[in-house]
Amino acid sequence: MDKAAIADRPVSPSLNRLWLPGALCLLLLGLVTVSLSLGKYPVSVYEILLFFRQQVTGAAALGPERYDLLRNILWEIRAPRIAAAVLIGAALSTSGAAFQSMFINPLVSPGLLGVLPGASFGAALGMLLSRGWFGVQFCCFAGGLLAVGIAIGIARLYRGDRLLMLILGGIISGSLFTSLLSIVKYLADPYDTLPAIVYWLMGGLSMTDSHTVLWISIPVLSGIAGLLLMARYLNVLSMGDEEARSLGVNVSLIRFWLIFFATVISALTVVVGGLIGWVGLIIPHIGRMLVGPDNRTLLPVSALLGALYLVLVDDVSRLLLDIEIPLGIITALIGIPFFILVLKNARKGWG
Amino acid sequence: MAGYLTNSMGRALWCMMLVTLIATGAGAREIVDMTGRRIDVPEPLQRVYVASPPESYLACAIDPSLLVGLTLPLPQRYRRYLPEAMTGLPVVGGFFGVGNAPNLEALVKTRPQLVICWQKTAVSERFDKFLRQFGIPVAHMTLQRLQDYPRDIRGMGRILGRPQRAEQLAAYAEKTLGEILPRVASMPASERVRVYYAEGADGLSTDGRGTWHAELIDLAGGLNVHKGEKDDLFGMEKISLEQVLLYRPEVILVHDPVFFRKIFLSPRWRNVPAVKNRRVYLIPRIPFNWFDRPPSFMRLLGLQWVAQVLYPRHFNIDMPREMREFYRLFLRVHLSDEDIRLILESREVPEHG
Repeated sequence: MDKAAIADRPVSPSLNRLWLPGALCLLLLGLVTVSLSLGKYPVSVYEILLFFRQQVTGAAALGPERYDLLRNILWEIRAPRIAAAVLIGAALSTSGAAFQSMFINPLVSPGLLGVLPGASFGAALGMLLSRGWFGVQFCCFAGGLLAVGIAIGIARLYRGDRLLMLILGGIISGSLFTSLLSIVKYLADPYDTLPAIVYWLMGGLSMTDSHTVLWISIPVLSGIAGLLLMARYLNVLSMGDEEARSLGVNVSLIRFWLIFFATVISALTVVVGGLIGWVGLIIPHIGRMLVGPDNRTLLPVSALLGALYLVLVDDVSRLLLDIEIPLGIITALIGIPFFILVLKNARKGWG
Repeated sequence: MAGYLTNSMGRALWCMMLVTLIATGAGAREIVDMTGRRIDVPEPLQRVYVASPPESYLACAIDPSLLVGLTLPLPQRYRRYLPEAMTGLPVVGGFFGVGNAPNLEALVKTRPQLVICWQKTAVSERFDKFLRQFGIPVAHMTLQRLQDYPRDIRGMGRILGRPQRAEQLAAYAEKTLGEILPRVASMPASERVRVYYAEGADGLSTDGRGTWHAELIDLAGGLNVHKGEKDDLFGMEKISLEQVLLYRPEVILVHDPVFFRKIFLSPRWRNVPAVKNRRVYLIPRIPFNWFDRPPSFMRLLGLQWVAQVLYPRHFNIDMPREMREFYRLFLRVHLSDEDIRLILESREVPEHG
């Protein structure tokens, strides 16, 4: 499929714009359905069908206890988790793709401006101070925003190449929050808080309940929508500031909103799933290989690919061993070799 | 030892050691540590540092006035459940694989006459070498299996030069183990209760059958539902909620108060038998956890608590009475009825948030 897609690109981009996202949507729907039937607790596909028939028509085919158990497993345990994987995968990939275009750099990931270290630090601090879960989530989100705010602030201190200054600001802010995180880990009670922080940083979706997912889906989906709507400007920005200005685009304003949306949704992914790395870096590359650099197609395709990828990885994390493998570990293990392979081809998409 | 003395620096240090020994005046006493090493410690021994929390707590139970410092900050809220001499100690830091390592210079500044540390890890060997340069002898001591506690408590007492006090504590340990273990052994396998040990804020980290961290479940005759493949210092395996459902635990012992507050509210756990029958218990944690993390001498009380929780019919333990005796003996504090209620409910966590 990739070869055909790449060959098609220059000839009929409009065709790609329509059928590929559509196909990916269907694929995602299929994967979500399959994932819903996968899990440690054995539930047959036949039973799931009976369950859904009972939910829709009300015809009691299952015993009340079995029905309740299935509802518990399917709707309260598996579904929120799969939904969280979809949201996080889409959010990280979209913001990664947007950042790569905006910074005109294929090595950029959503964590460029320090949002991930910031959010991790916030979460760790939250665990150290309060032990209430809402407090942790709030600190996590605030930490992410704060880190990006500092990065932008540093970039503003000096004149010169805006993008370069932003990247440097991000590096500084990210390192700052990484060391702050180390301090928190050092201070944390090694028997209670430290293990909690360590597991959080490995990333995972075992905590997700339907309440959190519903609550978080609104800002995440709005943020993704915001980025998708700005795709046209992103195309202009990726030609460089000068070009963009000459076309009458308010570069700083557009850039601010892009960073804002990407930061909010990336921070929210940490709130739900901890640190899940590499998704925002490699998925946009795959998207670019499939549909080329036009952000109007690239962003939605990346979002769908990211969702697909993370649902798949989470299935592996749930099923592969008797114990759960933290999600962040798998995404990194798959991501790194893949990235090395992709790196060679990545330049083509930018040509 | 000889290896260090081959150069001139070694000789200089040797002189320093001699000076230290002479300076402390009085004689020396030979002790044998857990690894069988013979070590000369100054007599009378007055300044000791214990590098890991469980062993440090035991030393405090024996005689807090001997310690130069603590490994971890004490939980401030529980001050009144700790021996007074202990709450005034400065925090020097400690070794336990991760987290705050002591500043070695700060440690030397406290002028310990003896340092007791965990057996052999890469870190502890470096620690060892460093302290020997200052003529500070290092003894190794590891508390591990609860059945060995009588022996280990006596060993600690001998090292610290407080054999009588240690004997009292060891006798309590022996009595407790002697009351619980034979009764567990006589219980038919069919009556064993299936237990899940929930750790972490999501309750989905656990330590399985046969591991050191969840030892009390095995000792109290529970059947730990998780087989447990990881028995290292750190422990904690991540498992999925569906796996817990499959395990069908009849009792859940909860380590984390945050999770304990959530388990009955979250719809996700409602089909786990222990939750359905409301047999979920928060492990008491004042002033230190009774069960694990840190695995301290509090586990002697914890063993009785777990046995009572799992088999209320077999074990008719009067917990308040046991608690009074235990806290008086080990921690030298008197518990009021209100204290006992607080400790059993572990209500120390503020309700907000």
